[in-house]
Amino acid sequence: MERSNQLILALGLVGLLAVLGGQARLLRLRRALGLEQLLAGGFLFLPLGMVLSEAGLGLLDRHIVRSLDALVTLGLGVLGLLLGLRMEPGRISAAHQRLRTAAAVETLTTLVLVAGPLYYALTEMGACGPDDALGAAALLGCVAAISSGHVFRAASAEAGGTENDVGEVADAGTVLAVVAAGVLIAAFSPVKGLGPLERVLAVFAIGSVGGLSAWLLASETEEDSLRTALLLGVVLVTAGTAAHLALPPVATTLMAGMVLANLPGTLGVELRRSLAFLEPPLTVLLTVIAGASLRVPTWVTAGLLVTFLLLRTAGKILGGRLASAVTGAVPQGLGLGLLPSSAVAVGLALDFHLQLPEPLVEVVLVVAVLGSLLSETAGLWTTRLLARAAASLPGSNGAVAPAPTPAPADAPPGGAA
Amino acid sequence: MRRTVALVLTVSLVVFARAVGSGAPTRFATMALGFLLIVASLAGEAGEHVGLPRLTLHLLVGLLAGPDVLSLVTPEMTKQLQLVNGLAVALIGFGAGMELDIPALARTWRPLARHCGTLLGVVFLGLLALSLAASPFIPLTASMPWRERAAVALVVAAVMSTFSPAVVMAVLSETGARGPLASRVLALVVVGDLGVVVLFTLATTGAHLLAGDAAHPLAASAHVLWELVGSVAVGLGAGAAVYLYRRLVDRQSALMVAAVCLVLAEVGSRLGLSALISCITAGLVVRAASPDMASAMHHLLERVRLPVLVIFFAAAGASFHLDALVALWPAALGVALARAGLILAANRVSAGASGLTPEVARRVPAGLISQAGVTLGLAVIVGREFPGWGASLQVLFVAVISAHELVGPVLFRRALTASGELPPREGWDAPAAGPAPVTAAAP
Repeated sequence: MERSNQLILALGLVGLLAVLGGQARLLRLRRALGLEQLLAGGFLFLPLGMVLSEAGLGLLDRHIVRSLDALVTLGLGVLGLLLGLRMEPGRISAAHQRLRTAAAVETLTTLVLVAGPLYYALTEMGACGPDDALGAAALLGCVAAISSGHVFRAASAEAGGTENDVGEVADAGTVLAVVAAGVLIAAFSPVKGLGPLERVLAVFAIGSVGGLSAWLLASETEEDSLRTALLLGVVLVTAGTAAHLALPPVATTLMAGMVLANLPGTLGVELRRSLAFLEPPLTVLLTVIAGASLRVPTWVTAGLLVTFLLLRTAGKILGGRLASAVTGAVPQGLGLGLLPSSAVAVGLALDFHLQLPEPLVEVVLVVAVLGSLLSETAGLWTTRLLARAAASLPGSNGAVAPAPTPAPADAPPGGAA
Repeated sequence: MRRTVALVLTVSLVVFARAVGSGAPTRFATMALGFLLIVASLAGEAGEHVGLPRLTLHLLVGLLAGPDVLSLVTPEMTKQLQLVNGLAVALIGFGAGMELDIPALARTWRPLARHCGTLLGVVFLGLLALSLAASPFIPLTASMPWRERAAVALVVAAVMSTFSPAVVMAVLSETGARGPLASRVLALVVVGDLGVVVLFTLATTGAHLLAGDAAHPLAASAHVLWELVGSVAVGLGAGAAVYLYRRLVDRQSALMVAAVCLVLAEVGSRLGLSALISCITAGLVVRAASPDMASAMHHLLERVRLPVLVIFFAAAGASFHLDALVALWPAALGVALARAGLILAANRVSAGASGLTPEVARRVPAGLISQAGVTLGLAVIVGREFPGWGASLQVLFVAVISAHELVGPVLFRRALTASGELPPREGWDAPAAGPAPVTAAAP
């Protein structure tokens, strides 16, 4: 079969399954089993990618996966942009500063707790040099630090609460992890003529130029579809420039999103709303591609995967306790709500694993992708526990730890915005 | 001013990446694609200031960025865009189907059938006669026996009788034009597209018979039957699936339609079906089952339609064969003028019985000049099925299509403006309200 036809058929099937995953009876079944996020997340599409892969039906062989490069870069770019757009200035208040501090503490704890032992394990295996082992371990640390704020928000809403603090911590922690991964990937990337510091600066510079361009273009455009077209163009240019320079597209467009969100006006919020519809299909695409890129893990890789999962869980729980102790703005059980991972983790792994030497390529991809998926699965129950506990707190209106939020100047008496 | 600064910034990114980077070509392609999307979108909007259709500007930007001029888009990259092309054609078809109001069409099928039949008949027979008359003087056919000349004439007449539903839909979608002219032109190109599939197959069957190739006629007849019936059947199934999905599930419906369109595009190419016909049928089923749902889905698809169409038409511009146009422009001009003259004549003949007012009827030909994807597909088939002279004809067709693709949308937009069917514009950013529903054209 011609490759382009293979590709179109595979993507069509993926899309059909994606939407059929939302079928009403299936949704009810998933809700009854407490598995709302599972089928929408990775459990359906990762195995689907494996089935469609070269080793399976052969519809998504390595040539096809390579020819999807532009779509994958677009997917990574849009995810990064949407993440960056959440960092709008309206959310930088004293309470949010504390939540961000909590996120920094938790992220750093998880990163160090995962990367340290994995670095030791990888160097002990002797499959690569210490530099490569450091890069791989640090990337896995960043992947481990990523959490899904959406899962907690959904669980909180289901439990009848209005709590968003854990979600905020998850988002901020993910931003930090992506920035850390961006710095790491930039430092490792083989760009000719640029030193490590220049490469790191290039990530921020390209992202800033992209964000500014998007703002300039979107601020003069009212028509929604034209604005979407222009934004997608900017994402493709920004992420494509980064990818062409072997720099991370996710971190670059995250920077662009942050710049865009913090420029004058409410454009950031509007753009986040108008681009949100792209997130589900692109997440599905990235998950399927990740599935198609996976190989059957060896025993050693499986051992590393188990280690990763245990370390990540420990890092989240310990990090949550530390964050609670340091800031007093989050509950001690914060880590339970941060266990679910997100598609950004899969995207980071997809983005970086090819820059590693051959023995580490498979290891990092399997550990990162399957680790994120299994974390998401386990995290669904822990998140629900935390959300229910939060919702049942008397007088808190579901807030886990009501932080002293200063009312805006124009807020009515007794009511925070 | 802001846009100029944004463009300068974007260009600086591309220049920087080109100077410093040494990544895989596919990654440069991603960047180039983004740049093309931005520039073509802005050019399209700027074109509206001077009354040009957006898609003409998209084509021109693609032409400039293409291999023959700036080489920003390479032939390999245009091949990689096949996914977008398939999706675009399918979305256009689906949208066109959802605009067809079957009860209203049923009430006016007689004048529409007369109009369409006269147009196709006069254009086909006129081109056939002209091609035969000119054949002794054309180097390609001068030395051929008369049977083979007749075969060439049949094929030329059939391919050049096609219209472009894609271009018409795109112009209507971007302008939001509504009225009897918009409705009639859309109905003519959609119905004409179905007629042309039959006409082309009959013509190629005849050409094979004239060329003394006995094996092909039966196969070709079976193929046309399969293409028509199969495409409609697949489209009916897909339309029913979309309708049921929207009714029972109602989540991510735009994604569902996009997925269905992708599958139809693939199934079409693999099974020898027409993705366009399948998608028109699918859209038609949704519209017939629930006009409200069709309207809601139209708005859902509107968000993805523009980026997809910009890339589709820009890629089409990048695929233009400027060399063919330069080499064959006298012949291409002759064919284009003859076709335009015949369309005008046919329209004049059928105007009285078309059910349209004379004012509207005389503007219909402007919407029928465009030729694009369907014609190009037939040109490729000609090149494949007639190895001797088919390749030469294919180059001629491509040259004619290139000219029609650039000129047609401009003429159609001007006609829509002149007929007062464009909605009043509130500043430059007035959103397109979607194409006109194809209903009974006012007599």
